[in-house]
Amino acid sequence: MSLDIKQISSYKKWFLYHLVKQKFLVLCVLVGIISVTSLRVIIPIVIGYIIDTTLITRDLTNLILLLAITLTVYVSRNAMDYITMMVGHYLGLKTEQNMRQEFFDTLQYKPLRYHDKARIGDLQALATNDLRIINTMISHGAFYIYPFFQVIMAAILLIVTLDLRLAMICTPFILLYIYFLLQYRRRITPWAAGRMVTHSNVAVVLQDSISGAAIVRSFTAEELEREKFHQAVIGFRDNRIGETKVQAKFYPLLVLYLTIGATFLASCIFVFQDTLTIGALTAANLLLITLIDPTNMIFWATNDMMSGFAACSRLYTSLSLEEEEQQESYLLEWPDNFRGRIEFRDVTFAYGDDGTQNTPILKNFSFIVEPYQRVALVGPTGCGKTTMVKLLLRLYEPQEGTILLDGIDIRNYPLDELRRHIGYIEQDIYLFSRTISENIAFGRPNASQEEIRAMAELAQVNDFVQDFPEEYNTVVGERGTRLSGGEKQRVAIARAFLTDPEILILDDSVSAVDSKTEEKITHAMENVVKNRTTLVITHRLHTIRTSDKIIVLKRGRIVAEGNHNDLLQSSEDYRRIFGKHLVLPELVVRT
Amino acid sequence: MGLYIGLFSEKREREYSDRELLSRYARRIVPFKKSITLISLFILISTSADIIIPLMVGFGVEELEKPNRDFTLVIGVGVIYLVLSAIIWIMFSLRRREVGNFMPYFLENLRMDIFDKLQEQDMSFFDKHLSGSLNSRVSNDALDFGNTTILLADTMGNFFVSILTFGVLLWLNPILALITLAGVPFLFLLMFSLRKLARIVSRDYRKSIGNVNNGMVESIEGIQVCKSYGQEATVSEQFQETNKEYFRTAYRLTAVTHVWRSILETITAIILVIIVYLGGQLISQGTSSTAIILMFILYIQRFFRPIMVLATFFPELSAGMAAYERILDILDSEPNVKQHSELHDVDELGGEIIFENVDFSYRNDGEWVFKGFNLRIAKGEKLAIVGHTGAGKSSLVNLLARFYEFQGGSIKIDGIDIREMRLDLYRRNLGMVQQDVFLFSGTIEENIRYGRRDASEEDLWKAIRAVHADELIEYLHDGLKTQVGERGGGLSAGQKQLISFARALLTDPKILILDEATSSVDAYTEAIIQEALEVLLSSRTSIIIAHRLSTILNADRIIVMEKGQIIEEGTHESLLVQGGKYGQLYKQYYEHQSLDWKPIKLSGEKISNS
Repeated sequence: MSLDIKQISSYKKWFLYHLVKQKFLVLCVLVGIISVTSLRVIIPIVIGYIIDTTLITRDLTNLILLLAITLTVYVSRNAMDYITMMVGHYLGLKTEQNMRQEFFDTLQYKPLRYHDKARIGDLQALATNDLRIINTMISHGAFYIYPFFQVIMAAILLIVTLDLRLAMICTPFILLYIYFLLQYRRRITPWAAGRMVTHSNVAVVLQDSISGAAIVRSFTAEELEREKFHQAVIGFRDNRIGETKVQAKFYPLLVLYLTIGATFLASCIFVFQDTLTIGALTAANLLLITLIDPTNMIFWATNDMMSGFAACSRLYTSLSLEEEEQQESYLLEWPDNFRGRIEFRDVTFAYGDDGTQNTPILKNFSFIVEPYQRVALVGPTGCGKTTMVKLLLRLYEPQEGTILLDGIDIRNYPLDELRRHIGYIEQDIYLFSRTISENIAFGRPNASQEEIRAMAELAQVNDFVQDFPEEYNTVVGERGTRLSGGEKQRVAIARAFLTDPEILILDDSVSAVDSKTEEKITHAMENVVKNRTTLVITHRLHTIRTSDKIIVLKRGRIVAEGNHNDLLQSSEDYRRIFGKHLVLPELVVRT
Repeated sequence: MGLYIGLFSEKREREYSDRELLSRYARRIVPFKKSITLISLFILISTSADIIIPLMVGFGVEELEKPNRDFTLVIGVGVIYLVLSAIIWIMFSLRRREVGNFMPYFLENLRMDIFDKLQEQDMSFFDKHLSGSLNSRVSNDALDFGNTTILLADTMGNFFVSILTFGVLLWLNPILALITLAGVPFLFLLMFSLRKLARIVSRDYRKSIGNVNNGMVESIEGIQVCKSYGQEATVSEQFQETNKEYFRTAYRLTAVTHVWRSILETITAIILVIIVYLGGQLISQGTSSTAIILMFILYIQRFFRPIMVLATFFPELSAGMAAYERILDILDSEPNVKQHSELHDVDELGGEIIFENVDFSYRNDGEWVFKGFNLRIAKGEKLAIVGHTGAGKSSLVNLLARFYEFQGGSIKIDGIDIREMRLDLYRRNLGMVQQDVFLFSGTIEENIRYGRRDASEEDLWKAIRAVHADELIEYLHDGLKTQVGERGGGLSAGQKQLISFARALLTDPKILILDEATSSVDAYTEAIIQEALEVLLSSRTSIIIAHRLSTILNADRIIVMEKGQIIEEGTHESLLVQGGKYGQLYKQYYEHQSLDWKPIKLSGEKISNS
């Protein structure tokens, strides 16, 4: 259930959309708030009644009954309070859960260019902290509504059951109170937002100086780092000072205290004139006191709300940042007679949103790989080798030109099928923290153990798996940390072999294995590679030299094409890379 | 949430006694004693006002109940009530303001102290402490600890309220007061059982939040694999379970942690009802008055809340002190690397390095990396070090850079012990390029200028051109102004490497240490780096941990290290001829980097089986 963000135009709407999905719960919370508020304001009235009818008249006949009613109201208020709170939390948590699943699913289907820009720490923070903040905002949302409800209820009760004059006295205060509540929210907003920014600034600057500790020391740049950090800390400090200044002038509370005082003074006079009972005086006093707690809550609720909406806006931005990958295609099934001819026709591509601002990585890029050929891609870092592969996998879309497989535009193949038929062994191997055999079976979860073993053997995984007591059931640890670089590469090779891809792409895939194992893998591969089109990105000279074709890239263009001997003759760039090695002293050492 | 504070964080061993903690804490707040005194005073005044108010109500009602009541007295009581209400708010406001005058500065001092201490530390410190936990000390622990200060003043106020309230109640009616007091044990019982329950439920909660985190990180880190195999749906489904489990545990935890308020208020209500009932009896007997019962009603509502807050004082204090302990843990760490007391001001070093009988262990636990290690590097020499992981290659340069302290022997440069040089001046003579290049958040230019911010434009470009980084920089859209580091990213390992070369070259160090590029740098970039290295290494002493055959071939001397010992040394040719360890290493790691290497055909047997 990933989100169709196009239909939602702002983070507030996104938030509402999720809230509306739980409209029953929202309704429950509202009903809860109303009943808690009603019960809460009834209590003072009941107490006032008890004072007037029993304590002052010294007539105890109804006392037990009245007290029983009081206790019942109290207990039901507390129970309702708890239930409302729990329903609120249920609503908050449920929304958190839904939003998280939506976030997760959306991320899964975001194109890779999205993930390039996003930092894992940020996404993780969004999925945990920020969602928890939104949950808190929803769960505590009731606190924000309480004072408004309650002040209205109190005013009504004053008029209906107590005394119209007292209500008149309170009215200007109540209006002022509401005005100040809204004012407070407006004035605290920039500071509350600033707190989050300055707080994270402190963390970011600090993180840099810790991660770069060795560099800081070797360049004796401690002073510079201190200055940077001090600036961040001062930013935090000044924001906090500003925030407390606004908080200190928390006028709603002043208005409330003045209302309570003025009402009491007036009540005294009315009682003196015998136009008000002592019970009513007490009731009015207690009624207004019940407003203090909810008003204080506004303090915290405003904070929750500010951070909640900020979190919403961050999540929304993250969710709406790129559209989801396009899934539509014209061919519904994978062709049986697929051979694996690759053609790039005038492809131009740049990373970035619309590709116009950034320097193109590939410019009018064209080449052809015939079926079953092995082609080596050579060129400097950033010249576009890996990018080219990613275009082929449709992890990115080129801005111009077409990529064809067997003469058909790759956009016409079903996306998931396309990716399954192209085996890609990436540069930085990523393994999931599961068992070795689960990792190998990642692309084909229903593969049998025999198949997994066979591929593992081919990729020389068997060699080192024997050393683990749990063999193939060994959990590889976070990101595969229990395995060495070479071992991870071998697992990744087995993983790619298992899906039996028609096209195989090796992106520097054996760089970390020692030469003996590489030999073995190379030979195993020769068998596997047969009848497949293979693209190899490598700096291993022997691989380059033995390829059917070498493509030399530079700054997004193909500068030379051909086999090793041709290129040594024809390409200056090729010579620049490999010429040096030729003039090395010829060393033939037999041990 | 005060009641449950400290429950949700991991336990930690105590290292400081309470007395020590408190006395150091006191020292820290001494500069702010004026603020703290004022805050306490404001709390004192507002709580007093809070206690007087019900008394005023009582007096007023008593007067009003009389047949011949005095108007001025009634008005007086009403006016006092109004004034006291205003005072409570004024005190609230003043208190906030004073907190604003003190807390931000308190935090600033604390954070700068922690930061300065971090700057003093050597690398062994950063090996022990994860950057995330250090970060949380500066941001979160500092805040928690700061709040403790306010907590103390608050608690004092609450303590004052409960004692005084109870005193007043006793004075009004001892029997009713004692009955009220009977509620207190229930409160404590409630609190302890709830904390116990919360501790149990929070365990599951912590676990499930950890699972959510892991699931999230894994799916994002592995997104490319997931996409290349078209497995998005499977991964999403797996996460759904984790997410549901989180909901369940979080809801259980909330249900437990939020119940206390309702129970507290129910206890209050029960006591209230009992008091009113008994009060009614007393009034009919003529031993009490409406005014007194009314005051009880008003006081009971204010009595239990402060007690509840008091009850949370110790958990909160201990959480605050735990935060302080974690901070002290940093403030009290002495760096292992210590310079001698009499220091030489070194200007420009020549670059002759002598290791003499050096003993070194990372944790000083008898696991020696070096034992009696000797090495002499001549001025201007290019020395390559090769060997397996763990042979001591990086340790050697770490010692030279004074990142770690060694236990025995000496390291001398131009005849001066490095422990006798002023560290900052000494390090200015050193240049280091590490394997994992770290770039700071900022532009490329800021990063290159890192070691010499005042370098002229001309010098800057000279350095850039010398290492052939100009090609790369001109290729980038924003050129030198391109954002890199945490916020920017986007450069490949090889590109970062070139920038770090320029950064090192700009400071023109006499001694250059290279922990060489990773194997993921491609052949073309390597060719450029090779050219850059020739410039970089000329006219200085250089130590290179070699990962690349080409660097080894260009070195004046190669040493082969194993288990902290130099087992072979010589040039590439002489070592190969010797046919020892170097020969093996060469075969294993370096041979295939040469053009001549061809994999030897295995017999076809094994492969055809599979």
